[in-house]
Amino acid sequence: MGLLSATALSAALAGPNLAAAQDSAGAVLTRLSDLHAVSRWAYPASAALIRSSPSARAHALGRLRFLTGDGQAELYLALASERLASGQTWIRVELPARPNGRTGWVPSEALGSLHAVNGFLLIDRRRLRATLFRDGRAIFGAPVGVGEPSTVTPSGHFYVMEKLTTLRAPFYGPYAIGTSAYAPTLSEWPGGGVVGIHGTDEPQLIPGRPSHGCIRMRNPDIVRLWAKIALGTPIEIT
Amino acid sequence: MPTRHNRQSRALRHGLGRSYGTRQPGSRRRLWAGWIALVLPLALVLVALLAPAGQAASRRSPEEQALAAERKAVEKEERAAVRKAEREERAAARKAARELERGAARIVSSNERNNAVVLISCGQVRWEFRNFPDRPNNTVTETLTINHSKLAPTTFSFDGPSATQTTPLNDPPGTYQIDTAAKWRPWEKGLKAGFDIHLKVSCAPTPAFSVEKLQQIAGGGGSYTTAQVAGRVGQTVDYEILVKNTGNVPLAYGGFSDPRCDPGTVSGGPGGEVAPGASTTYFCTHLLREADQSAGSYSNTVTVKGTPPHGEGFPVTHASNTVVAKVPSPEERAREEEAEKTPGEPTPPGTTAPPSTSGSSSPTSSSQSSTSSSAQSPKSGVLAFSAVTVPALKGPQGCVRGSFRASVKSAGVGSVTFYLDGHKLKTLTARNAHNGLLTVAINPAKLGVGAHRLVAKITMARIASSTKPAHASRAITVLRCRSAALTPKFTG
Repeated sequence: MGLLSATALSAALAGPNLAAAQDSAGAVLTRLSDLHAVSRWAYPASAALIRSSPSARAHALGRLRFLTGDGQAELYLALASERLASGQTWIRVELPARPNGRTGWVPSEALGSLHAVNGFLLIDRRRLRATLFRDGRAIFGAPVGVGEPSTVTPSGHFYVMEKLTTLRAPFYGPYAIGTSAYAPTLSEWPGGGVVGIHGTDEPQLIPGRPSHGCIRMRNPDIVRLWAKIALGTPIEIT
Repeated sequence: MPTRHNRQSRALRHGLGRSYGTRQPGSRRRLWAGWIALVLPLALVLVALLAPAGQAASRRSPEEQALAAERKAVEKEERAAVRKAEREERAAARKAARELERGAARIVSSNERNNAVVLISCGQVRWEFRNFPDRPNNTVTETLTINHSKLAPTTFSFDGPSATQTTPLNDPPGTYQIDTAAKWRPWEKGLKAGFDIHLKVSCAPTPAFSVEKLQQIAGGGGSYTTAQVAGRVGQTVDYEILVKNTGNVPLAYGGFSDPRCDPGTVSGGPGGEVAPGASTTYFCTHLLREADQSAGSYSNTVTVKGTPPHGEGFPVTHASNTVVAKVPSPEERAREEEAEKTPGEPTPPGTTAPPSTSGSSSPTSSSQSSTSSSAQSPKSGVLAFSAVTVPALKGPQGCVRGSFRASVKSAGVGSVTFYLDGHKLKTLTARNAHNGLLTVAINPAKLGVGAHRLVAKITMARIASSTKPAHASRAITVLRCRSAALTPKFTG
């Protein structure tokens, strides 16, 4: 985890899972994250425009943001990079915005150093269970509470955006983890309706479907998960 | 096969023959009566036997007939599936036999339905699960024991009927007792849902390594890559050669041959033998010259030889990938830059306004480009400018909540002035350098929550008395965050 040195990053980029491909125009596309084994993320270096394709002429989708709604550093999951024939490199990032699942491209200069994370968190809404995988192994598992049918927890690929301490809010338990997911039905919620993973003061409702879209865990479980999960870790909600 | 009726007919024909031979009057009538007396009961018995089936068929409703047809079709499909499974099993057996012949691995299957196949070799254990129910989250618990030393059980979940997982092994030469066990929840009554297979594997010494060459333009702010990079005359290409021991014996690297690196620039490498699974890194550089620009690019490959200890295999030699640094002429560069000019950034609907304190309006405003502005538009006759590399500004990433430092490498720098949100902080000269860095310490206590712009205006040292010093700015964004102990705005 943590900041990837140039050496390690280069080695990982050239690894079998992160293969590069060159297209007919001479552009080299390299996968940076496979969302399961190795994934990479970065803080923004500037409030650059996010484009729909790796070109300064492409449609703009928004801007990189520096802070989350809770005043923490926003980070972006880097999915792939494309080095154009001109030598300029663009990075495809996952957008932590509504609607869920959008991606866009930013120049590589608009992002800071890439950090690497290993593994992913699987949230199974059917089995009401969270499992954290690392190196192909499950290193954490716990029952969860997910959104009730009217405020369903969204499915898809997301990532860990922030880690918060919530000692003054018993409703959220001792710790909370901010994700890049947004509740599909709660667009007017303060902060935009961010889906979090947090503890609870009603452990008897877990496992179950008691929440407004967030993923609730029993407090001992969120304490364990907090210690194991790293910023930028991909989250797969099925 | 003669039937009873045929036998009786033959007997009757013999009787008739005898009667015709005697030619007695009135005997024909008796013979016909005997014939009828024999055949009629038989015919009645046959009709009685066949009538119920025919009547039943004629009594079936169309729904029943459709069901019967469907049942037949299902049975046909089942038979086809069985035949297919048998074919697959035979193919797997043949494959296993081939693998065994090669000595690469041993394949052992688990239960009567081959729901799991384990391929055990010296380098890895591959677990193949198949014919599981086609549903999400099939979960298998795997346990691996090597020489009676049990590794931590692994829970492997997969969606759909089949999946493969690999557990890498990197054992030194020798003989190992490998025990692979797995269990899962049975989806059918009576199905054996697991296996425990012991196998003895003999691992021979296998010297092997991988070598990979990466490059970057020095001071370009990028990272090492195997992809093509673009540089200009006067810039330096930094090379990094990663050598990983992928075999199961220690290796001593020698025969390092990299003639395209500049003489005397090769550094790094191991102090001695490199253990299995371990890596070592070499470095070297090349200064891009006019000749490289004339050629259009500069490519580089390295060759390394790995030698195992005596008696543990033979030396192995590998060449790395080839990396290419493009060196376009100034005219080509100008054309490319012209082609990439931004036509003006529209403000799309739904975009998020940038923080007011960011001070950045362009995606590239914070870029750590490798040369100064004067170097990007070289003046004729001032060749020294093209050789100037302005260092990057390094600082914290993510949230800052306490004092932090930002620094610039002092090599070749005449002076640097730091600004925070446009306010001048400090000017440092080469004499203030410490450990090769010009560093400023900043306490963010008085900074508001948000993004802040830290700029270093750098003046490079003069290369010659006749040249003007190059100037450039480097900038980073510093984030002052809220405390992480708060009540989040999550949906709950």
